Amino acid sequence: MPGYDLVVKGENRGPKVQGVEGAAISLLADYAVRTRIADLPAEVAYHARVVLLDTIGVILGGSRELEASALARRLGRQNGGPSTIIGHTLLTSPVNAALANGTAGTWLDYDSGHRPPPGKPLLPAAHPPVHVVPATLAVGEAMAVSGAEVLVALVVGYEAGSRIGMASRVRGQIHPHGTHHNVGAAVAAARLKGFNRERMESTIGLAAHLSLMPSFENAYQGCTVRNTYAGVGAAAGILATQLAAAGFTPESNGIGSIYGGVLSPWLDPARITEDLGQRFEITQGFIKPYPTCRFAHPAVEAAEALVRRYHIPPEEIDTVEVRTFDWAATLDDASPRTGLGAKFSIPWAVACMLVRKSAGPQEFKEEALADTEVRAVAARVRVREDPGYTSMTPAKRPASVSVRTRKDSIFSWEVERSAGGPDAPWPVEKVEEKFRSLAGPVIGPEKALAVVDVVRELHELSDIRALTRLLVPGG
Amino acid sequence: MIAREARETDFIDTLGELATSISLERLPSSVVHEGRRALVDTIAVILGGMAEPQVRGLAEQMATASVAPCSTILGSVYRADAMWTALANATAGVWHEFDPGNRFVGGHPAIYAVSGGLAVAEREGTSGSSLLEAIIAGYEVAARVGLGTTLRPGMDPHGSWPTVGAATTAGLLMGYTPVDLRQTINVSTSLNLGTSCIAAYEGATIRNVYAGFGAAMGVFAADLVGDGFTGERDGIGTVFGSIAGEFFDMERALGDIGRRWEVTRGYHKLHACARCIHPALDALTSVTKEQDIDPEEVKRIDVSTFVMAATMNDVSPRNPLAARFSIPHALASCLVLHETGVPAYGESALQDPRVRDLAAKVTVRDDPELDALTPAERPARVRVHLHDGRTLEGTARLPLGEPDMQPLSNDALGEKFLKLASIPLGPDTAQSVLDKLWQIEALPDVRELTALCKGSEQH
Repeated sequence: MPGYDLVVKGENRGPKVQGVEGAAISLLADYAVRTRIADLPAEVAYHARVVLLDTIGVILGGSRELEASALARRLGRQNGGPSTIIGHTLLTSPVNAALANGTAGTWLDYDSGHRPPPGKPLLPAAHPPVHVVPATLAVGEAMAVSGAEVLVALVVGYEAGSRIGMASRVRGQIHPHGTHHNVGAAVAAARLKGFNRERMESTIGLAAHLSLMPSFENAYQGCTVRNTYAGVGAAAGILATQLAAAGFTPESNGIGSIYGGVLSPWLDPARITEDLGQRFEITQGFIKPYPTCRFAHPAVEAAEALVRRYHIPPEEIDTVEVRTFDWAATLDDASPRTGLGAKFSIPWAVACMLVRKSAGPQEFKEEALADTEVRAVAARVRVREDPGYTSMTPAKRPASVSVRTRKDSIFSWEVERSAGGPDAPWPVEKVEEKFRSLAGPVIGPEKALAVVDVVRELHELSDIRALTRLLVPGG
Repeated sequence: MIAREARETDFIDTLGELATSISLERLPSSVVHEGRRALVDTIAVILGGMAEPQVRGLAEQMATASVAPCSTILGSVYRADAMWTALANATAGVWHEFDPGNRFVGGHPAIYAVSGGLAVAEREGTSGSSLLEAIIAGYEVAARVGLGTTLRPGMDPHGSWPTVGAATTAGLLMGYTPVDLRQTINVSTSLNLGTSCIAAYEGATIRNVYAGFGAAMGVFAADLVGDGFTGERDGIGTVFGSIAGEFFDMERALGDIGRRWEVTRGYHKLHACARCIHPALDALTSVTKEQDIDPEEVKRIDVSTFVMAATMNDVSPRNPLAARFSIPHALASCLVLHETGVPAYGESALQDPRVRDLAAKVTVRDDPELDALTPAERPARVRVHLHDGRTLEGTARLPLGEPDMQPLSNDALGEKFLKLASIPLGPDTAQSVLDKLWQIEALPDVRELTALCKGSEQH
């Protein structure tokens, strides 16, 4: 596998691209069309399978939510096309399937994300899989590609979106879903469609122009349009391939305009191609142990450690003090009003762990919000920033939880790095267990097991439809 | 259950209440008339754009993408889901840079309201008067949001704030209450694109998809609310006051609301190019009206105009879309081909050596004195220097087709319609469609209209 860097060789330079961003995109496109399954180190293929399984799991887990179901019924029909709306006996076009599946996959806030290695001055790239996987499956199914092709598409798509995300920084109030990972979805789809380098390059530019400018505020207020951002992004990625096929053209430096101006004030093109083909961002992903904002995880994990070790009757709890790093400390709403809002509330998640000994999908359903016992404890949780913890980021993202009882006993626990990330990875058994817990209730435990088996041997699969046909309820 | 918190009426309530209370009987007849004209002009440009190969390719893709193809991609043989129909139609409608706009708002609300509205109206089987009401309302809401918004430098309004107009029109046609409409507006704001205006200057055709995507997202937003999805309390404040722009000017957005109707301040184009170019073209034609100019006799042409227009100075545009943003090409095409409509910016005009040679002789400058007159005026001065030593000069203060500067007559609008609509429909059907549009309120079901707008393979 050749290395890619920004010392641009003449033959790598596309005819239409300009500037250093253009050169970076040219290299990225070249990488996306040339990578073969044999170029993927075993560790990378492993992570691709883990990301695929986990993402299918969270899509299944979100697919039966009321609004996601309504959307699915609107976008699909019994014989509505070549692509599956996961978790439903509905078929549709690839673009509609990506829209529905990306939306369902965001619902539980349980989908895996990306965090760059500690010690490197790189930014996190948010949530690549919930964009890239829906686009890959929807197009892969329509093209009846092999499991190996799906793995390659997933990896190159993950790289493309993540690297643009890491090379820029979307403005604070923009929710990163539906922004740079549209490019990742587009690259994966274009790869599966067998685009050549030139068309791949156009597709990247076109997808950049279809980036949303969505509000983060919807997450804080628990408003469900936020769950559609990734769905729209995945669909926009596929749309970009359709536009490229119809002859539409992007700006010569659309990537620079959009990600280095409009959505983000700057873009560092060198970061897009640094160690391309050698360093794989997909190995830097985290699997979420709890369906909440990632920043809440160390606090929830500390609370879990406490309830596993000590007997603390909820009615005995006087106060709970959570100390954590700056970004996490903003998740301090003690009285969330919606399920989505609860996922952005450390008091709620910690209280669920203390009272119900669990912080799984059930704890963030609208019905759970009425749990008066949890509400009472959540009201006693104080979240504070600890400047010492903040100074340890991004290498560590610590939190501590101290529970003081009415009898003045104090139980404390500290977590420096939450589980599931590259620095504290989850064993594959835990990933599979999480998958089965999400998939089982929707497609049944047997099919859930079968999916685990198929994904484990995905590179052997000659037709991806052998996987997708398992992702629907019923016999 | 969690109780809704009490709050005061705000801007979005005002928009929602205004939009849901609109009725043709109560609106001043001039407003209804301008709404109808916006509809006529927009349908014309959609039909005129559909013949373009890229648009046809997109239309086919959108038809394939659809599972409930209940709406007509105008001027094509394709039907598609309402959302994807809106995408194809709006992309076609902005193709020739010939669609109506609004200089006070600084954008093109009509294409969103019409593309989103027609696709949903056909799906729902609504009457012509409901469609017209919803279009006037969607136009108004988008324009009000546009008035308050100052986009980040480098952004193109297409695909941005006008999306809310498509959402409003679609929501009204689905019978939404003020509460649902408020939700629709707040859902739509986060489905806006972060666009770049350089695409237009370079002639990158993705720019036409900004409008298509925006119209589609408007329909999608309304449908999402039907599915039960929700949006934040103040999506306009968040997105246009802090993300796509840094300040939302509420005073400007609310000015004379309910009394002044933004659709009455819209313009209709006589030339198929960027609006900023029109004053220079009008200035030139004021000269050629007096006497013919032989292009071979032209030594050079100097154009002075306002700053925004002066950026459109490319003497050698690389493709038809870029040509629609080039004053040198527009003037050269006008003098050589005696044309300022769609053919003036086609590939053959672009390749014409006489046009290219003359465009190279055009110099465009911004003039601070002229710029100081904007936005009330959008002036241009054109000086044609001839080889025989004479200099001919023409000026324009505002482009023709503005409501306050020789508005386009109904006859001229009808003529424009027939020219463009005949491309896919042929002259007879084009005439029937035009007749129906002038009497849109009489139509019990808009499907009678859309059925006529189906294209055939031959055209």
